[in-house]
Amino acid sequence: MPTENTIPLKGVIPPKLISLEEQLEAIRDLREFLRQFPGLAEEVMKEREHQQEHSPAC
Amino acid sequence: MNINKNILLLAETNFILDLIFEQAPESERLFVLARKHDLQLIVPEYSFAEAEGNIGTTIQKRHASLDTALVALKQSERSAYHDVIPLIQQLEHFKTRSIAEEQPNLHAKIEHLAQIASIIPFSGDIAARAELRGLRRLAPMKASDRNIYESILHFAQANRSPGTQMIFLTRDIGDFDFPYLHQELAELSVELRFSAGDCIRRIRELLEI
Repeated sequence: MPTENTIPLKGVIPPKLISLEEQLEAIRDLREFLRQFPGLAEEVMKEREHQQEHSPAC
Repeated sequence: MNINKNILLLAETNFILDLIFEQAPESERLFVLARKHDLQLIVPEYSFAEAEGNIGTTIQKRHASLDTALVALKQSERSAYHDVIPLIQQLEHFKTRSIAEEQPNLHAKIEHLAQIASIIPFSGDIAARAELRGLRRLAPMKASDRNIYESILHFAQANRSPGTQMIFLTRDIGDFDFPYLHQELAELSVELRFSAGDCIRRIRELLEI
């Protein structure tokens, strides 16, 4: 049942995980997986900065 | 609390990365605040693909480092340091397992994460508009940012209505903080915000909480 703040949106794929607990679980699940790679966050952020700096600009 | 205003929170790649890597505590606070007040979170499909690509590239770079180490160790196995052979076998086993398991697992988990938000599908139309924006030398200047920006515009054009206020969070201030982008977005009832903390303040203001 949509509330005041959940109007139907056009042109989007709606979320399949609706409850906050389900959504937080999906976040935790990915975090848990990524913990297998210590230091990955720093490397990803560096990689991202590098890509941004070298991204073809118009 | 003002419940007559429909507020939509639009976010992009950095928000996803901040959320999963716990880089900025206010990102999770914003997410929880938004969900507790039934604010819909909308993210371009492009951003989930970009986040997955960023993580995947980093993992692949680790494999490349492993390859470099294996080359050096294999040279040593013919020398007096031949006791490195078990280490070589372990590293090779680790690499094989890593390649077989990590990439598919990462993909599945990002797909799962993408189910927390409403997704703006990436389309040929969005890509074409981003390309034209580039040819016109209009900000954002980077190809990936243009794809995200055009996804946001596409969504806002389809969903604008008198009672709807949209907030677009990007912390990429250098690439998005241009007066004409603010103006273009404002015409579609989209406010541009550069930090999760700022979004939290603005949402509280709009909801009068």
